[in-house]
Amino acid sequence: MHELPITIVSPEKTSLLQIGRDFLRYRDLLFLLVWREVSVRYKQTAVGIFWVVLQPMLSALIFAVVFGLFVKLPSEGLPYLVFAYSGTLIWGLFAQGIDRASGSIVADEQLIKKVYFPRWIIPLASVGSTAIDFTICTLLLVVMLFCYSVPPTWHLLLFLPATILVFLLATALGLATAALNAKYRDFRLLATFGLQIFQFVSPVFYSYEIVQSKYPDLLCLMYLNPMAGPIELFRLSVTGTSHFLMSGFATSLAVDLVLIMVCVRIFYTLEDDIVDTI
Amino acid sequence: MTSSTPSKTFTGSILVEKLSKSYPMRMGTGSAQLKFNEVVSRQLARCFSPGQWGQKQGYFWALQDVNFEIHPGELIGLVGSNGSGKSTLLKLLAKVTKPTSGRAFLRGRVGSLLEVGTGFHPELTGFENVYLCGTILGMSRAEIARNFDEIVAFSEVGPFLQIPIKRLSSGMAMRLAFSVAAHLNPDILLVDEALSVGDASFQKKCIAKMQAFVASGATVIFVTHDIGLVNKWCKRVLLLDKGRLIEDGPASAVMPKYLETVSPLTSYRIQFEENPLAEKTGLSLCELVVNSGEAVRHGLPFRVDMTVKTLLPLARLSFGIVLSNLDGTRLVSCDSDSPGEKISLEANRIYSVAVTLRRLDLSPGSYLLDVAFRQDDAIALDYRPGCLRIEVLAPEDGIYSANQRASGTRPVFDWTLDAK
Repeated sequence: MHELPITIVSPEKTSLLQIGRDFLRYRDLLFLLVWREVSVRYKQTAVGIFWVVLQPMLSALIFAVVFGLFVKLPSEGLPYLVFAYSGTLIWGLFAQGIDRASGSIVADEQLIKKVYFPRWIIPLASVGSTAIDFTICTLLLVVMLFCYSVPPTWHLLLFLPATILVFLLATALGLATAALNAKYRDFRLLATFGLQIFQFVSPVFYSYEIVQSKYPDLLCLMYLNPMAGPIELFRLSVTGTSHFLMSGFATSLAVDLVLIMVCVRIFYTLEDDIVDTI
Repeated sequence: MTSSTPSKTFTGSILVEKLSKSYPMRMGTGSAQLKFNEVVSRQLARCFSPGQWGQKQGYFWALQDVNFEIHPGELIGLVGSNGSGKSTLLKLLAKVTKPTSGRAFLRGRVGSLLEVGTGFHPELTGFENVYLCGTILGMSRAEIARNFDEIVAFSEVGPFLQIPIKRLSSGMAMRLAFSVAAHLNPDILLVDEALSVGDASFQKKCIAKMQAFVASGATVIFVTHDIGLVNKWCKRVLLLDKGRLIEDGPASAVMPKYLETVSPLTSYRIQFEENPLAEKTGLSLCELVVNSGEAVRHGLPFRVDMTVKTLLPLARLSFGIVLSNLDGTRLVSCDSDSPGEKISLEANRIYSVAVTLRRLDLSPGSYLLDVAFRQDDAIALDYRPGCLRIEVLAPEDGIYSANQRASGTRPVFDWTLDAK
């Protein structure tokens, strides 16, 4: 009897040590929720998991036709389709991650009102499900690189750091918007709208060169965008392009670290009130 | 004294100390939620009127200064009228929400069953849902795998395990959900009115399972409005009223006090709070009037008028009322269903339902009225056990001896006496 663990119910916030323990204790739940999102999304669809690849592929194709063929934007010496697809791919991890996470807690309202588990699991699982999509889409990128004979370089070592950085960024923003959205549903709408706008100021389908050549003063402003640096780092890792602005990346990275800390802090502050205000 | 240690030695199963929970006045339910612009204007108003600085808005205490200790192997009934804080207490113990002040200590694994079917996803198959629901309730994957065959056998839905839950009948889904929860094997089990959903045999199964837990040394706290259940099974009962624990003791001592708090004697009319499950079940009872507000008398007709609101289209319905004595023994029951003839209702309408007993045979005394709206004879769409306490009086011209009052029912009868 005495070896049984004791659960303490008190008004205090969860300690950081406890959060670490929860990671281990609830890992089964985290995996299952990721799996639930992935499998539910494509249930009763005719082409199933093919949708995962279809979405970024189609948007990259449209970009390639409009910007690569008609507007003839510079693409750092890469085939424009490869350039656009690599941008869309990493942008998708970020934008889809936040988009799914921001509504996730509200969508599972019935669940969190009836059972306890650490609340961060839900948005994290949403971003996790995007990471699965991302992995599948990366396979297509590999095929594409092979077809266009873009050779792998030592920069490939940067693939994981770039992806992890974007994953963390999406998780942090997803956590904050999900918690805020529990009280004011405005935040989900704001996130969706904000992401649409942000895609156009991020180097998803154009390169920093075009900004540098036409509006050099705006360049530092461009890198205040938290995704500007990570997108370029990701593109560097998969294509080994020689166009990479280190100072720009450093600026973005600094913004990212601050943003992650602020967002996690917001979630931590709101966490305990979610169930009462949702 | 730090907050992580109990103020006295903790040897039992659950120790609750000065547990309180408050909600800001206008928060909580979605509809009463503050609008963003209201918050802004309120904050602005506070900035410009320094007198109000630091002044807090009103708070509603859902639970206030609750203390008790429970030992292993106890089956505790938690009773109280609607809004008395029962569910809040369970939610605090289950860690679903945090207390405003006070602490509680729970020894061992805590399983909470605040709703049957928590975590079930309609698109997933029964097989997948067993894993999902089990994990959400706190089982590891290995544990579920170990108990899987037993869970399926208990639920009796084995042949339908590969079909999405949305294609199963709600009764089947519920059996599967309960079956998962029943194999949680916790040291402490918290059960909110989960039992009131479902048919009698399902309830019996739940009770048997809870007793098995208790027999093996686990502790069970369960919330219910069903007086019969409490009297029969609970040695100890906690009574909450307006967020305070007002009674803690054996059922025989606590239940009479509960009856006083739950339904005032003279009431022949009751306005219901909306059924919390109405969105799912599609039906909520709004109002109930007995004998058009007139006194209820033995030997005279007895009529119950109800107003119900529907949210979904409903088919195969039946209604029922039951009158029980204060121990929970059912004395009179009137069900609407005659076989083959079931009622269907349209969505988003208000209906009035009435039942008339041509003659009420209950002896003068106090009785409790249960009302139930069911689908397929099994699933309770809205069930209000003991919602009204009814005083049956003697007819105005009748005088009853104490002996006559003591009997349960007094039908119409004729005596004959012949000399032989």
